[in-house]
Amino acid sequence: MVKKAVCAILTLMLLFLGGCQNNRDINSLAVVVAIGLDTVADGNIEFTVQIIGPSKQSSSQLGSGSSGGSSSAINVSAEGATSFEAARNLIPKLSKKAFYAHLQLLVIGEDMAKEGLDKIWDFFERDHEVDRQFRMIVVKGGTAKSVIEATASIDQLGGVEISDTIDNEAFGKSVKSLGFEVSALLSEPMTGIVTGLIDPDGSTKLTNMKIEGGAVFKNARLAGYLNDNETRGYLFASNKIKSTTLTIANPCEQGKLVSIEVIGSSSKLTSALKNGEPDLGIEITAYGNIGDEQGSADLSDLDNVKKLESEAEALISENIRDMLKQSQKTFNIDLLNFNDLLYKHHYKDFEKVKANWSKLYENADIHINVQFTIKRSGMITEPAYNESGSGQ
Amino acid sequence: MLGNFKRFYRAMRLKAANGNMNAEEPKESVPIPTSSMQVKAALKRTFNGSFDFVLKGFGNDTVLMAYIDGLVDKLLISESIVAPIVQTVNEIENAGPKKRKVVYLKPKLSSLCDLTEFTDFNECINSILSGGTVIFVDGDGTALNISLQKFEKRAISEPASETVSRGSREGFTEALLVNTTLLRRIVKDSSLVFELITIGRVTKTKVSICYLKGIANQEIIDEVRKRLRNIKTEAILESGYLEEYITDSPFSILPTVFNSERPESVAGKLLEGRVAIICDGTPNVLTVPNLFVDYLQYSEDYNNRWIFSVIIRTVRLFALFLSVMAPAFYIALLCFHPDVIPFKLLVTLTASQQGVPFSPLLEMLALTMLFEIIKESGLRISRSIGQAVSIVGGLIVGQAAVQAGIFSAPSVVIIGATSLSAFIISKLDATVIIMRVLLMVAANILGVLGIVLLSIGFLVYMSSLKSFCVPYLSPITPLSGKDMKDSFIRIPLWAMFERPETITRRYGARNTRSK
Repeated sequence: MVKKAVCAILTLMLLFLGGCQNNRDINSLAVVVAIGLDTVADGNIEFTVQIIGPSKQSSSQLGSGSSGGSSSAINVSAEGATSFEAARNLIPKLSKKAFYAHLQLLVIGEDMAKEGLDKIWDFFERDHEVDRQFRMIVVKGGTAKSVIEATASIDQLGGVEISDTIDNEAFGKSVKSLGFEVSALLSEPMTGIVTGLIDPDGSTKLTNMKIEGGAVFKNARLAGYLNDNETRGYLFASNKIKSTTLTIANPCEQGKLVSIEVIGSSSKLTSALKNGEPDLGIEITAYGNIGDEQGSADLSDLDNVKKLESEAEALISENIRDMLKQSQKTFNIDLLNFNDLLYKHHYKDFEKVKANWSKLYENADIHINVQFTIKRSGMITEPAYNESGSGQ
Repeated sequence: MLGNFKRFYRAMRLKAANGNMNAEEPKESVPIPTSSMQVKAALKRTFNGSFDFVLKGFGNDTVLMAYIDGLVDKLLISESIVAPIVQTVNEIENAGPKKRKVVYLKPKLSSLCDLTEFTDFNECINSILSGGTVIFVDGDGTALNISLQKFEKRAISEPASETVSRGSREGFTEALLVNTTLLRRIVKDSSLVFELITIGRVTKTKVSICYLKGIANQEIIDEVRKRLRNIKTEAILESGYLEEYITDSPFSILPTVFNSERPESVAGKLLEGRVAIICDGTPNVLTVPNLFVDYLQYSEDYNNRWIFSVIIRTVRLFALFLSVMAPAFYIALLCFHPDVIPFKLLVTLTASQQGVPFSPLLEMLALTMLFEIIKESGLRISRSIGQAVSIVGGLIVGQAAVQAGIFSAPSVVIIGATSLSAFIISKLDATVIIMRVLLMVAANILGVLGIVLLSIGFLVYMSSLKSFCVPYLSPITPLSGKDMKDSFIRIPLWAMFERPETITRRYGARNTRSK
C-alpha cells in the first residue's frame, strides 16, 4: 500500500515538476530572428526586432501557406530605459508574443557599442527564453536599426541572411562571435573581445553591406576596429580560422601572384614569466593548397613549394603582428587571453605582476612562429599557358 | 467506478459460463422411429417444409433417403446410392421380420468410404444438415449415413489483405477441409493434429484446433480446447467471434490473438509451437499465443535474405512509432517547445501556420478523422466507383483544404506520413489510432512530458498483458536473449537452432543436428 502511494505521488510529481508548461502554439508567437540595439535620445535603448511574417507567395493566395519557404520579415522597434523594458514596450505594437528562443543575430549600433555592453547585456543572459548561440555583430558607423531594416535579397529575412553570411567562415576575415562566448569574455576584465563587424557603407541593401573585420571591445566598450588583415591575424592566432586565401608573390616570376587556399590551421599560445616579464609566443601550424597561379612556372616543384610555404608563413606572421600591434599599442588590451594562460600556468608569479598587466602586455615580446605546409597543387601542376613554349 | 465495472464484467462472464444467457439445449438422444411413416413425418416436421430438403421414398416407402439439395453430389448419389437401393428394395420388402433389413442394403453400399450407422434421430438430422445423405429402412430403427458432400466454394486465391512479392500465393478459403488440406500439404508430418469441435447452437460451426503434437506446449493446447469448449453461443460466423470469446483480456485495446490468411504464415507459427484455430466459413485462421512482435513480422521476412529482413523490420518498427507518435510530437513541438525546432524548419512552419484557424490539436484530430473516413469509404464503396474516393480524398480534402487555408500543409504531411505508416502494421490499426489520439490529447495538455507519461503508462499496460499464459511483450519483457533472434531482428535461418522458448519453453532443438 505504501509502495503504491509512493508510486502515485512520484508519478503526480512528474506532472508538476516539469517546469513551465504552457500551451501556446506558434500561431500566437512572433518568432524573433534578429534584435538590433541602438542608443537614442535621453539615453534610452531602441530595441528593434525582426520577426517572421507570413510567407509572401501564399499571402497573395487565400489564407495561409500552401507553400512555406520564403517568409517575409517584419521589423518593429520600441524604446525603453533598459533592454527588458524596451522588449516589453514591443507588446503594444505586436499582436503576438515575441519569442526569443530562436534569436539568430544581435546587432549593436556603433553608439550603443561605445556606450558599453554592460548597459544592455544582462537581459540576454538573464532571460530564460533567449538562446545564447546568437551571433553578435557591431555596425561600423551606423545604427543597428538600419541594418535590421536593410533589404535582404537572397533570404526574405535579413537577420537570417546576415547570420548565414557570418556562418560562412571560408572568407577568413570576419569574426563569428556567439552570445555565450561574449558573455564568457565579459567576465574577464583583462581580456578584450573581438566581435563581428558589418559596414553598411551608406547602403540600405544587405548585398552592399560588408561583413568584414572585427570590433574590439575593451572593458565592455567599443574601443575600435580591426581591419580585414588584422582580423585574419586574430583568427589565426586565436585558432578560429577555418579557411582563407593568402595571396603572395609568385616565387618564380617577378610581378606575378599566387593564391594559397588555407584549408586548416591550428594555433598554440605559449606563455612564461621571466623575471616578471611576460614571454609570450604564438605557434601556428597551417596547411593549404595552391588555389590560383599567375605565370607559368610549375609550382609543384619541391623548391618552389618551399618558397611558397615560407612566403605564406611570412604573410600570416605579418597579419598577426599587425593585429598584435593594434592590440598592444592602440587598444592596449589583451585580445588573445594571454593573461588567462599565465594565470593558469604561472599562477604565483602572475599574481605578483597582475596589477601591472596592461603595462606589461603593452611592452611584451610576442614571438610568432608559423609553419605552413602546401599539401596539394590542385587539379594541375603547371598552368596551361606557357610563355616559353616548353610544354608538350 | 472501475470496481463496479469489473464486478459487472465478472458477473457477465459467470452468467455466460453457466449458460444462462445462451444456454445450449440438453442433448438427449431420440431413437429413430421404426416405422418409415413415422420417420417421414418426423423429418417433415423437423425441416418445416424447406424446399431444399429432399426426401425420397423407394418401393412403398420401405426405404427413405434424405439429404439437402445443394450440399450433396447428386450424380454420385444416383450412381452409388439410388442404384443399389432400387436393386434391393424388392428384396427388403419381401424379407421376413426376423432379420434386420439394413443387412440387405449394407453390403451394396459398402464400396462407399463414409458409411456409418446411426441409431439416434438427432444425429441423423445433424448429418443431413451438414451434407450427409441418410437412408432409413422401414421397421429397423437404424439409419445409414453416407457422406457425399459437394457444395460450391471459392477457389484458392491470393489473399487480398496479405500480399507478398515473394512467397506462396495461396490463401485460405472459407472451407475448413480445404484449409486443413493446405496446412497438411505444407507440414507433412503425422504430429500435425487437427481436432474438431462444433460451436454454436444454431450455426453448428466446425472449428478445428491445429497444432504439432510434441512441439506445441500441452498447457496451451489444453487451454485453447478449454476456452473453445466454454463458448456457449448461438452463432459463430467468423473467427473474429471466436477471438472475442477466447481472448485473454477482452477489454484490451491490443489484440492478443493473431490471425492470418496465409497457410505459409500459419504453418510457420505452428512450427514455432503455436496453436492455430481454423473456423469453417472464414479464411482468417487464428493463432495463439500472440506476442506483440508478431505484428512486426511477415512471412516474407523469412523468404528474403536475412539482412534485408533486419532492415525492413527496423523500418516497420520506425513506422510503428511514427504512426503512433508523429502527430503528438508535432503538437508538442508546436505548442510547447518551439524552442527546440531547428530554426530553418521553424521559419517554414511559422510561415505556413500563419492564418490557420485551428490549433494544431484540432487540425490533427480533424485530419485523422477525415483520413479514417476516406479509408472507411474506400472499403465500403463498390469497386467500380472506387476511383471517386481517391479523387475526393486526395484532391479535395488534401490539396484544396490547404489552399483554402483550413489546414496547414505540414499538418497534412504529418497525417499523410502517419497514416501511410499505419498501413505497414495494418493488423494493429485500431490500437494505433486509439493511441495516436490519446497521445495527441496528452501532448496538447503537457507537451512532450504528456507523451512520455502516457507512453510509460501504455508500456506498463502492455507488459501486463498475456496471451494464453505467454507475456505479451516477450521476448523484451521478460527479456529472453535467445528469443531476440527473431523479433526486431532476424538472424539467418541456419543460425536459428531453437524454437522460441517463450512459446514452447521445455522443448528441444529445432534443427536436429548430428554431433
